[in-house]
Amino acid sequence: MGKGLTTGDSIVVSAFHTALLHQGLIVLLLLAAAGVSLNVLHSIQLRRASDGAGAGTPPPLPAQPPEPAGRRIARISFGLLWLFDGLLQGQSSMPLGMISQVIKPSADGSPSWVHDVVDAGATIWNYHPVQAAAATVWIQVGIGLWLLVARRGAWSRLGGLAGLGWGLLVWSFGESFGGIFAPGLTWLFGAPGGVIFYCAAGLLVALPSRSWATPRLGRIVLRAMGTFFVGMAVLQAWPGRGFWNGTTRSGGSGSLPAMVQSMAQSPQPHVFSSWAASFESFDAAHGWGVNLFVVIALAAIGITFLTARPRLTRIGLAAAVVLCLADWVLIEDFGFFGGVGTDPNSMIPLALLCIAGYVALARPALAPDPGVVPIVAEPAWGERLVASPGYAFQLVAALVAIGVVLVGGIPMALAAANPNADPILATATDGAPTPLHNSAPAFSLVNQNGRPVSLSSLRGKTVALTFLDPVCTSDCPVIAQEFHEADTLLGSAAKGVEFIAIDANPRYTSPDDLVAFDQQEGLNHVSNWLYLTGSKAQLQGIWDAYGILVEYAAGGAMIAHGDTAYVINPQGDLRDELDADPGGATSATKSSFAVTLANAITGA
Amino acid sequence: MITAQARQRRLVALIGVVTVSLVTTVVLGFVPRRSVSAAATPSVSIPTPLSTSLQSDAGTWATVPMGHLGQPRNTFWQLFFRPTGTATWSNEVEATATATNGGLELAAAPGQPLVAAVRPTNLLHFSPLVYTADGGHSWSDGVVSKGLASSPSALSISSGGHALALVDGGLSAEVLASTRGLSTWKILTTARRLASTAPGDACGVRSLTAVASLDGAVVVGAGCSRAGVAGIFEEQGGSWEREPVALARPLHQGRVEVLSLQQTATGIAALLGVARQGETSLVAAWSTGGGGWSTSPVLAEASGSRLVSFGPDGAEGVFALTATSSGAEHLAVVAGAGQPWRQIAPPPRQTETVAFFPAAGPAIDARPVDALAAQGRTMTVWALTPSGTRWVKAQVVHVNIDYGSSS
Repeated sequence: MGKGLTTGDSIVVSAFHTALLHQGLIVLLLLAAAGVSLNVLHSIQLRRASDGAGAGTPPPLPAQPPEPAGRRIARISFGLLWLFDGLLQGQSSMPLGMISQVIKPSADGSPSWVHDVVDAGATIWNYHPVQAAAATVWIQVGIGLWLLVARRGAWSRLGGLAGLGWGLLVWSFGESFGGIFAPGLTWLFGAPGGVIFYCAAGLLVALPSRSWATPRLGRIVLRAMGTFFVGMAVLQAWPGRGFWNGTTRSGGSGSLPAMVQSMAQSPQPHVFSSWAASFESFDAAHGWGVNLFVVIALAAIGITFLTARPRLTRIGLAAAVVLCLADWVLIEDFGFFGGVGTDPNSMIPLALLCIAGYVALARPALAPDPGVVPIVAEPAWGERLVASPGYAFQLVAALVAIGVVLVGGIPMALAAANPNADPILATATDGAPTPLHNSAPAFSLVNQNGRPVSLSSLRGKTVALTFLDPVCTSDCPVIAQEFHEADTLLGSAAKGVEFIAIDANPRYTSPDDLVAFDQQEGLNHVSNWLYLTGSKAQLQGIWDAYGILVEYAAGGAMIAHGDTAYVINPQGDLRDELDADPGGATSATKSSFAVTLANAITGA
Repeated sequence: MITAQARQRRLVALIGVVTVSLVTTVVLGFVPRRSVSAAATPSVSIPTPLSTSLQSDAGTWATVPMGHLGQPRNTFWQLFFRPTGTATWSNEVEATATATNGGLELAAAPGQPLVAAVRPTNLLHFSPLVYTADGGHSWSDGVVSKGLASSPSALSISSGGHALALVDGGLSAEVLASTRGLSTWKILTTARRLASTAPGDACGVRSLTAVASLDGAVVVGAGCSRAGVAGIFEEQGGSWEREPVALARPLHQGRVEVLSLQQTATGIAALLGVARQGETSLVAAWSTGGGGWSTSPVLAEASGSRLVSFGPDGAEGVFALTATSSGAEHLAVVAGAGQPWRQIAPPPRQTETVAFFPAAGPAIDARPVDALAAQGRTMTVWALTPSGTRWVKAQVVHVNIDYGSSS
């Protein structure tokens, strides 16, 4: 069995770049359409202004209150973070590396139900790596733009909700719930997952403006953060979790140095890895002291936040920001290096959320005076669109951002709804099918039931042909399953197709051997499945005619034989030759090969 | 309206609560916890090695694992053969024509071919087999449509040519009998069926472990959950009876598992493993005719040692090869009922099995013995000197193992 695809597979990477390019062109079209729309609106506004100059000045629109400072911080900073994360998703390793190097490792140690959840998302990505990776880029770029351009009003709040919703998806499927159900949970490594802070920020942006009018929201945020910090301090202080020791009893690295060591091994500028390595050495030597400092710092920060008193909180905030930055640089090692970094990890969003909470506490928006009744009623959105250039820009820009999200979201939804894998996986594993235009070599053998079968007796049917060893321990069962899956994919069209395997083991040539294989693979009740055998001389002649090299292997290894499949049209001509090496033999590659085979059969 | 004083009081209370929580956490965390391993129940299932040797009409056969033994997919079992009248081993594993990572199981009987079956591995879930009646010059094939159980006695052929196979394991185990050659089989009984009989209930059958034929009757070995009971069952007229194997009193508290059943010229020899208090003892038992059984003295394994191989001694007896945790190996042989276990000179390290050859005389010490030691791609044959005091290197066989071919 061949190896699985590498993350840098040129075919997949090239397809990923092409998809990004095509979708980028759609985004450009959206921007062009937005430009035209703004131009039209600007013309209307100018005409109204000139009309107004003749007929008297139109009443001014009521002044909008400024956006609360805390909300602005949350909106802009997390908008930039989403934008940055979206760009990180454009790295070449994402289509094939996201699951194996990011998502699966994040689920290590989590209970089985977490794996089930993660697997559900991973299946979609594995089956459609190009579409999923490209979609993620545009969804995150779109959410980032949305938050940046929509400053206030329903569109802005909707942007917050979009960030919250997508963040929850990423947190559960992509971050395995931030690892909160796995052992070894610690704030230092990023618990409870960076994206949960994105979700919190999205929630804050989605709140109505009046929520920001008093310090109450800031108090709630800071107390929540305070509880979080104290909880993390307790967890960090808990003995027996490996954080009090820089080294293990056997002399190995303790939990924290081991984590830093693994992070420092990611490809990155030397200066950063040397910082991490220096901290690793320091912690290995002073593990107890470092952990004590972290516990005290987390607890102290948490307490100041819990008081929600501006003066104390300011000190706590400064400490939190410093601690977060130190952790981000020395322990999380920035988080986005290595080719599959998806975000700057948890510390930056955590610090930003704390800052937003503090600003909401210390500088709340001015509440409207309940005793003052506005003289001019709030105009309808259509009126504002043609009256206010700022509002028009915001609205159009928000619509463009939503369009960008949909550029990713629609293909992602289509991919999720398609249960069959992208054929590009088979192409990347085995290459594209080779077209053939010659007569298929004849054969006359017996099937698994001992009945004679010849190629000429199958005229009028399309034949999918391969060579399988009935006692093979790796490739052949996979190929048989791929043939079975192709049969299922063809549906009613499979009535005109015979799926045939010819025995590829010179030792096991009796129909009983073939029946045992069919039973093992659940093929014994597939009506258009034929497993053929014959004398060794007969088989050798057919192997030679189809170019299948079969040889004994020494030392207790399998019989070696080529993994090839052919498609023969109803006239008995070879139409396609497919390399059938199952590669990594994942459910995605199996499905992908089945789709490729079914397509070749349909085209024959 | 909250006064500044009240705020201060709340702040102090808050700091107090958090501090107390932290201290309590640390204190509770340092309370010694009871070790999990101390309460763990020792496993009653005795690991059964597949390395073994046996005699056929044409010569002696042995199967041993080679390659990277810590990696299942890079462990390849070999099939060595030493023809009668020669002193040279050859490797016949190519005849199996499939990957042998799951292990090989052998069966032979006078007048019958040597049968080598392949245990399931990776995506192969049934057991193909090959057999030869001419010392490996020509081979035929057969198939057991399920996977043979992991036991050196999972396959048996009688001198009358009837083959038995034990497939699957634990309570899912089934005993199959060949009906046409070695390719079609019918179910004789299952572990659950046997467990539901009165003799099975008396044993508390929890697994089937071995099969053999005795005068045309089927004999099945089992692992019993009832202490002190040996689960050897014989089919008589369509019903199953438990053989009356009486164990010495010190073993009455142990769980007994039949490790092997081997046909001898006069009946059946069984090797029983008795697990008690985390240690395993070995007892051999022989059918004496007329329904009686006699047993050997107890061979106690050293603490921490493991069973490396066991099998027939080429006559009526049984050998057992064990290794201590330091890797030192010990070989003991018991010749028959009423005989003591005899320690033979410790074989070289990494010996995977030993092979006894037809005796020139009745004395065990006079019987030629080879030790087959495997390391990576090299199998070294050590021969016991006629004095029985040391082993001398007799042959080195290099095996071309294709690492990674089963991945």
